[in-house]
Amino acid sequence: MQKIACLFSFKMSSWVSCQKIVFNLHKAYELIPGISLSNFNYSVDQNYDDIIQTAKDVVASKPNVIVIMDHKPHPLPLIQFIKIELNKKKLKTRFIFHIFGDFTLYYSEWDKLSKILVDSEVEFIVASDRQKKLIDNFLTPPHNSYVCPFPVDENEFHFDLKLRKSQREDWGIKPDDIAFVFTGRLSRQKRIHTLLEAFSDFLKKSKTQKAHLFLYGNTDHIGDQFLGIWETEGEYFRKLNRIYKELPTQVQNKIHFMGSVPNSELKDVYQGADYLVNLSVHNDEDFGMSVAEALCSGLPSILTDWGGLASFSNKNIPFAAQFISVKIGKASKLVHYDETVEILKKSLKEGHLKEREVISKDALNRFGIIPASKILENILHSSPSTFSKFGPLFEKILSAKSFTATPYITPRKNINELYREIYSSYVRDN
Amino acid sequence: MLEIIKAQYKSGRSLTQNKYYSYVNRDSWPKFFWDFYPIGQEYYHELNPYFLFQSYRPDIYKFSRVITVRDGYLTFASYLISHFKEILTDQMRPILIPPEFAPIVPTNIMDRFACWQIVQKKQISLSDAKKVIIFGLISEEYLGNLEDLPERLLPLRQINPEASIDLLLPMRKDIFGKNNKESMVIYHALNHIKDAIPGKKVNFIKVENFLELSNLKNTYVFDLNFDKMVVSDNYLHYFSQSRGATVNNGSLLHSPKDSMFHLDLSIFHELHITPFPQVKSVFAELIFHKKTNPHVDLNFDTSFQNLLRNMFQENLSFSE
Repeated sequence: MQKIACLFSFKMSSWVSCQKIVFNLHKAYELIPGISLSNFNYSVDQNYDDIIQTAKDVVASKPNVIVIMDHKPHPLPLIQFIKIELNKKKLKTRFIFHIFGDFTLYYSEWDKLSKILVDSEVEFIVASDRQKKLIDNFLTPPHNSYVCPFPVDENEFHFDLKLRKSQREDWGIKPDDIAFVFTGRLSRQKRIHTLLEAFSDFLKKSKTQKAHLFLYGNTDHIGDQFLGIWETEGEYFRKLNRIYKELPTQVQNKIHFMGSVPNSELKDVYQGADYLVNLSVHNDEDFGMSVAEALCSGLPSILTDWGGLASFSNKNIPFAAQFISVKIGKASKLVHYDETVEILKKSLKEGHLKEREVISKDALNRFGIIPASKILENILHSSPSTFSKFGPLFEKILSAKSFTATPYITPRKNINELYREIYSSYVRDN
Repeated sequence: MLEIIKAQYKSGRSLTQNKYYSYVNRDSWPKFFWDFYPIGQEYYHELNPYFLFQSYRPDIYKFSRVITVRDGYLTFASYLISHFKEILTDQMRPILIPPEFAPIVPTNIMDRFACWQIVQKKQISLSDAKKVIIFGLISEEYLGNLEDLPERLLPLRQINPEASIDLLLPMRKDIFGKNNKESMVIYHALNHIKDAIPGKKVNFIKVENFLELSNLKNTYVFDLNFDKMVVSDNYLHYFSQSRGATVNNGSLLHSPKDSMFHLDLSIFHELHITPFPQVKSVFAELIFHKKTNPHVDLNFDTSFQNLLRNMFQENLSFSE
């Protein structure tokens, strides 16, 4: 019987997708046969005394594996104390870190942690192939990284067309109308401004009255700090609002800002909709929880070929996820605008209502809690590798960051080679 | 004036934008600004929402010809007394204020001013709210006379028995006070709240918890603010209304008939600009006070605070 200590914040994360990820990951671990799980709270509310006590409790449970499931707070302080406790008791254990999209925001913390973890058995679990590629670029061989998609709870998100009619009635749209939805933060890096413009062009070019765009979520002010764009609260909302107000009235009538809704309402949204659209080029886009949930509900998706979103590609059911090209341009990440309009136009002609059950089943087979549990079981049964240090690219970033707060742009605010070196893993190989 | 407002809107430039961050020396702001957290947090729209007391040098507004004033009436009045000549001699630079502040403005510069008002077309009543958040900075300036507080809390009796109640009561020293005497405000305020909602289970939350909320559509935010002495444009109101909450801040249900310009602050609420109202100025009284107390910083002058508070409590006498 393997003893596993699960560390996560008992306080809910403000990032809704992260709340669900941790919850569902935990469920996946619970399904693994032959292990016993103990849970330990590690949250931002804790002071040093609390953290020391947690470290003592963790080590006292004599775990074979310590799993850090959460993205916040960074595990550095806790692992420091756990290592001290382990050394005191002359114990050894294996560490598994679930890596989220925000890894690249915390280089200095990971650097310090790497020094503590030298010669320990360490594994990193990421949610997509491209995120693995990104992380592997920082690691020295052997790459101690594995892919396990963030799991979706089948009880929450599955195919259920019964909900479709009432959702469409709530929206006030006709049975043969086409509803595109976006769910998530309305954020600059999610390219909502591009989506509004492309949707407007698509309506004009296709001369259709049948298409609607429903946007769920609040605007944020994250900007794109890696590229030197900082926003004040309200700034991105005003940008979107100005674009929206300049659209013709008949287009405005087809775009619906719905605000944030409880997560429990999204299952209805996904059944009512015809396509999920997500044009994200976010630096943190390691996976795409909303896309996984939509697909598990049977909703086809139109996505940018960026970061973890590419993991939703499906050769057997190509219409389940259609992709729009992305490239890292001179000063910005560029979403192929004409392709976006064309895919929207093409979607108008196709309808995949009949195939939605197939999409849902396939997605649950790939992104459900049970398949995640099997992947995690295999990882736990694999022979652990020893961590030595992060590699030269990591050192290069640390060095650049010590000179400037914006290590990824040139003085003229163009994207530099360092950014391209890191994020080339997020775009398709040419 | 409308042309300047439109040009300002078109330029989109506001001092709250990051690109001007390094231009502003925040150390030059008055110390009390830091006690304003979270009600004084910055946000953006094209008409430059800003506090006049942050204007530590005259050229600070060169990026933006319009200022949407967020000050309460104390720092607004204090600013006018110190700067009214600058406003007069300067090029036309519209200053947008809440309509109830109009009587403070000197008659000879009234043409430089217009008013701002918030419109939220979909509001709920306290009795309809599924969640009620009672907010107040625990400071005497913010809460006003504690003897009147029970009366001001009477509306809380309408809260639906099924509704959840959160208390967000960050403590502050007296923002515009000079002494650090021990304050009993928290005890009195809590007792009054307890009496207003007898037997109800309440949950104390921190500002950070509040700022993580993303959906406030069925939420009523009950602000304990006595009047607009400290702040007229409260960031927490902006935050709450942006997420669909109703706030007891007098937001209008319909656009004002004389609205000459408006912009959306969120999908739920709007900012409307209206002409300066016909009012009789009381500025001479304020100047007289300053002349009789020439060396006092008016922001910290309790008799000036009382003079203004009394004026605003009798605000009907301001109308012509």
